[in-house]
Amino acid sequence: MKRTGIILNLIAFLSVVFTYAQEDYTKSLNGITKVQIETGTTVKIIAGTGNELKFSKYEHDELDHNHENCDHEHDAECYDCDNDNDRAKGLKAVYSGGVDNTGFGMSISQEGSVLRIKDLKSWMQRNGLQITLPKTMDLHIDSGNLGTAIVVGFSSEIEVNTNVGNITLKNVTGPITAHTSTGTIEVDFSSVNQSSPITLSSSTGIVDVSLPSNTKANLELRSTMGTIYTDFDLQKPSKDGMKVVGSTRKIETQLNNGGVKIVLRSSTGNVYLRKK
Amino acid sequence: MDCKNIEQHIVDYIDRQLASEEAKQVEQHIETCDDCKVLYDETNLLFSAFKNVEEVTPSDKLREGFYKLLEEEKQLLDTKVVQLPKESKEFPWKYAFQVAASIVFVFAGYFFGSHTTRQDTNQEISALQKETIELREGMMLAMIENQSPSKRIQAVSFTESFVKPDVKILEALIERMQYDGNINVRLAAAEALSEFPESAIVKEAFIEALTTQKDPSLQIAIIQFLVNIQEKRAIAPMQQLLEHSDTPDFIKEQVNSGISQII
Repeated sequence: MKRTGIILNLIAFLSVVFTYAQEDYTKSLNGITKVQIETGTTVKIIAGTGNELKFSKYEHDELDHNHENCDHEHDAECYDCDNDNDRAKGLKAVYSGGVDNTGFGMSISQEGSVLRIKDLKSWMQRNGLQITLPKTMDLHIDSGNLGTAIVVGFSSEIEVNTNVGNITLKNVTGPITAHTSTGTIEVDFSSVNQSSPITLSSSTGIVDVSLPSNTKANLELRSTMGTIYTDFDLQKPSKDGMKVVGSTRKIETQLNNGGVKIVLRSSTGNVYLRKK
Repeated sequence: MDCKNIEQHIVDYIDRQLASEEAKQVEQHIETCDDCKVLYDETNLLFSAFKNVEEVTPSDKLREGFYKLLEEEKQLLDTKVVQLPKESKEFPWKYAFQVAASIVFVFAGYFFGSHTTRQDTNQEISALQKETIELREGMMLAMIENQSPSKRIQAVSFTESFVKPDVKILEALIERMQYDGNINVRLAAAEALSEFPESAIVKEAFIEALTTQKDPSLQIAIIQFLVNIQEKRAIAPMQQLLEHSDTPDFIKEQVNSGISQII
């Protein structure tokens, strides 16, 4: 009787370990220079130390939204809690988008030096995706219709496209190419890589960028129907004559005698350029 | 032969220079005439005395004195050199011509040289500029297919320096505007193409893009370009946009104001 208890305990322990192991998926990234992520949900990518890819449980923090103004319990915000139900026992999940080869509802495939990660689950069930990658890995994030993209601490090239979701990039260097249709783009540069252009555009959302004060750049600020705000002392070259009505309202200027091209653009939203 | 003749011939008789007949006559006269005999003896004595006198060589002092005198005489002569009157000195045409010719040659050489080098440098500069543009065109075409959207945008921005780009370049830009996977690249390409409104293929591309592109930012860029160039063929597709339910309201506003500006 005592023996059976020990065995049962051991089985329970092992199963806990097993399920825990399933929650964190890791993969070595030897020979990979770029990771392409397609998902429909909020994706948060944080810089890790090892040369590996790691999926883990999504952890909400101040980058997601302002917690002071929300009344919900973040841990309770779990739509896929009933996913591990008994009904699925002995069954395998099949997805229309591809084959789950991670046990995490993701399909991973390699094309040359590019690793493609495709989220197979619906955004309704996948409430947030947290991925840890080496900080020098190039990123290409496509976060579907409603997904938000959050990237923290990368010194590589980042390409982000969202539709409605916001784009939040913190402690990055560029080159960055980001576009959202209606979301807000918020980028906080730790320094600015001078190798190739930085382009941030939102059709109807806000573009909010913080640059170190000593950044060398050729700035191009466009807002067709919005307003541009900055605390940089922009020496706008004066132009004689009247401006053509209806032409793009564009400010082209140099920061610290010029450097890499930085384009901030919003069609109807405002553009904010902050000095830090 | 009288005594006067004897006096004339006596020296020759002593030196035995007379003909034998004359010598006989002089001999006979000397023997007969005492006066002449005395003259003969005296002259004979004088000549034999001359013969006996030793030859005296001049001393070194004499030689020095002579040369000294000669030098003095020479200096006297030098000071007495008469200056040629200046009028007689002809202007040195030949010399002047040589100098003038050499100056002319030097300057001609300089100007010719500087002119040709200037031409050369001008040619070099234009060749370099051409090379730079070709290089940029090459880089642009090479980079436009790059995997990185930032690099593709950089490639597109290279065209800013082109005044009259090759059709190849324009076609590459049009392809980016129409089909690039990244909206920012499509936007950058549309803006780059807006700099070449006189090109027919660019106009065609913008009219086509007006119906195919769905991103509002790009739609605004396209509408603004077509309004700026007063493209009347754009009115029909713009009206289609107004009728389309997908079109956001602010795009419709742009279209309305655009149509009113195309006269």
